[in-house]
Amino acid sequence: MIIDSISMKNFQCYYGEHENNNFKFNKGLNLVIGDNGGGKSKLYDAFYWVLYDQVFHSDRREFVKTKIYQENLLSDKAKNECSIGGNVDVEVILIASTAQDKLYKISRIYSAKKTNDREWECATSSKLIVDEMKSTRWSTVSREKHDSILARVIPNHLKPYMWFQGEQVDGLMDFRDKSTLEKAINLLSNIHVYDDLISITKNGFDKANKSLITAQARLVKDKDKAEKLTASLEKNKKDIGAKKEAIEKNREDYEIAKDKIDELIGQIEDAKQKESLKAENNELQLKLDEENKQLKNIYNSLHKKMFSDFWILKNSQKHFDKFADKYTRYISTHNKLTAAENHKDVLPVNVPQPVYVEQMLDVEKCLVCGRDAKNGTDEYNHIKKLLERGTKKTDVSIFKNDCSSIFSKLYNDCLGFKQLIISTNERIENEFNKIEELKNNIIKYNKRKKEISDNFEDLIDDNKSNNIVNSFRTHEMNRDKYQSLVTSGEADLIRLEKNQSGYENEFAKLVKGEVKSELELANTIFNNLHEIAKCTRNEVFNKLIEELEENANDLFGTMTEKNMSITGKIKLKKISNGHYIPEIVDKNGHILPSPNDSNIILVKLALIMSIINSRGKWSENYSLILDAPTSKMAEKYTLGFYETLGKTFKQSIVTTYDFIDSDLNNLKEQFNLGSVYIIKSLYPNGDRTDRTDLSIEINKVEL
Amino acid sequence: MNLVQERIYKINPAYLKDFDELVKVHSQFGGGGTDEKFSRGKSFSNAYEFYIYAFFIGLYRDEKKEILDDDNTKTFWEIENWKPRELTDYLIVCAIAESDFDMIMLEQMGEEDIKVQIKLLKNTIEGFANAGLSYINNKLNKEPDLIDDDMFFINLLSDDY
Repeated sequence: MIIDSISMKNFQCYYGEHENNNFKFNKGLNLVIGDNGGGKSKLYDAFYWVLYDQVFHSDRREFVKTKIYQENLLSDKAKNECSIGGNVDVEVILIASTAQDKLYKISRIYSAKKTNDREWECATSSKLIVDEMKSTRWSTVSREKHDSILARVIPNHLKPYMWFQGEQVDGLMDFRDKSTLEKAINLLSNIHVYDDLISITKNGFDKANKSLITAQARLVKDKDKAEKLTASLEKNKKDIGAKKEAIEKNREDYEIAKDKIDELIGQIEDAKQKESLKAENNELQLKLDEENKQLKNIYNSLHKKMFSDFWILKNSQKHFDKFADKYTRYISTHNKLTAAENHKDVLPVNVPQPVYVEQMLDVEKCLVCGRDAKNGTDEYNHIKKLLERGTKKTDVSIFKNDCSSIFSKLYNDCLGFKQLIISTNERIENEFNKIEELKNNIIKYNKRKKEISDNFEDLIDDNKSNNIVNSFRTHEMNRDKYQSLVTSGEADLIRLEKNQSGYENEFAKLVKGEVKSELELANTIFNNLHEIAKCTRNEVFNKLIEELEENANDLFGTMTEKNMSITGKIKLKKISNGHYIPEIVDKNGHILPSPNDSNIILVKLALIMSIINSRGKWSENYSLILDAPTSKMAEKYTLGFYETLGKTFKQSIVTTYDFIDSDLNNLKEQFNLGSVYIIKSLYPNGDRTDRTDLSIEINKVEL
Repeated sequence: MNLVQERIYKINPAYLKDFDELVKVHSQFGGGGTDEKFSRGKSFSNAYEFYIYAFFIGLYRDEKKEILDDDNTKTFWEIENWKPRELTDYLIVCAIAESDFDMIMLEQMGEEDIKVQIKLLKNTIEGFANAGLSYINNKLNKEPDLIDDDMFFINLLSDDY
């Protein structure tokens, strides 16, 4: 809803009737300008009280309920004027309208009776009345509908981000807590839908997994062993969970220590020099990481190359030569034997000529020696065989195991390695040269890093601010400690996860028989669904971060354009524990050293506004109410800030001490203005310490 | 496949149990990504890689450590499974060259005699490989710091023999 008006009766410093304490608001930027003590925060209190029955307790620095605040709600002047036995009524009336032009009047009333000069009998609670405009008159809305109507004025989850005081900004976006941004996004976007999905699929998987294990357990023969294994599995599972938590915690502590170190560097003397040393150190570290990676790859491939590039054969030539001699002797013998077999007939092929041989067969007689060779005898067959010489090869080998093809293949294949073996030394040398070069670079970078570190140490030792230096050292120790805890924790986790799969495998071996396939299928499907839900959530979240960064930069750019000293932009950096933190970086992506408080507030406001603006278009539907938001901002930024508010939100109501001495008519040209009021405290008797004389004068500025 | 060929590639050479620790420390038993082996402190992807390496070291040093019948030994995989195949063939060629393996007579032999020839080849492979393993083991025992030297195995190969 958009707020049309708010009016107060005897609410804190707003003494008197509604008509004297009435603000009417329009679309655009509504300003309530007043000096310190002028009633700005009490006006903010009135918004809060009418909706939530709470006011800000300035001593406790927190919002408290009416039943605790009691007669402090009452105007001191009204209390003073009230006679003993009389009542003072406090009322705040807020009128808000919906996008469909429905009008609601929300009234909160509280009453106290004066029992003596100092004491009051207070009602135990305030009373809320909600009316809806029906045609031309207000009609009371039933109590059951109150909550939903109040939530339409400002939804509860948006309240901290759309209704806040300048001093709350730090707490709202406390980046020392790395999960701040994530919490805000979780709260203000629909990412929780994906969290629900993860939770549902996780439950599904747990159930499916449990059913599968139960079914497997039924098939187990060795129940004792299975029981022990199940217990070990459960314990190990818990240990994994605890270890993951511990790693997460150590990661967070590591990030905190790192941030503290960065923060302290800025505080100690020679900060600039230290910053530049640190930047050089970081750059060297990147180079070192890269060279080390390359070196590791080369080392890895070196051992591979012993086999893939056959370095291992480096000195093998003489052995191959020996084989070659042996092979030559073998093949020569083999060939001789083969040839002998082929030529073991005394007469060469075609001697005597076939025509004579055929004649011999016809006459059944050898015409060379004159002996008989009757058909069917060995002699006849021998003569007949002469015809087959050279036309038919014998199927029967003369070797029991003809190895010629294997040995020839071995010989020919290995012969091809000769050139490769000759060049091995040169190839190894080339790799060694590459390694040498990388090693030299690494030595060079490490040497420079050591120089930087020594230089840094000298600068720190010279530092006179002992406390800062001591705390710097402590955080350095913490950083190293947590880093090593994370490393050892991760190693433990790998071990535990290995144990887990070991236990699972062992358990699987105990299962004799098959479980129903649908149980296994359900287990797999839910596991996959769970993984998909997690991936989708991450993808959506990262997309939100991208959008947020872009929108925040648009707003940050507008807010800072009047101040030429800022050239940076907001970068949302993912840190090791998966959270995001904002940084102000230059165009090359380097972090701007020590941003001032104004910059930080602007970054926070830009992020808050872009979250509100980018998701759900809340900036269109609800009113932004800010109390002194520019209290920590340098003057030059305020103009950009108000301009952004006017452009971004359909309606914003801002109490401020800015523009007190300005020509307000100029504002209209600069901002998308709604109404402008000037408020000041009035003490008719002239004593500014006498609160019983206090009321607020409200003047609407006609622009 | 020819019987001799089949028998050669079915050879499953052994190493002395004394070197079991050495083999397990330096080679990645049971598979795993080759790319990770170096970061996991393993110089060899498989036991057979380490075995081939040790064979050539023994060969180049011209040292043999024969395995006797009552020696306690370990086997890992038949030669037919070793990779790359070209390198395995080269190893066989060297073993044939350096043994009394009779290429000529083999072609006339019966199954029993072939067995004897294959045994000769196996003994030669094992002899060189175990001598290589023994040499590596002694070197590391003498200078334990060498184990941290990423180039130890490459340097050993680069020595002049």
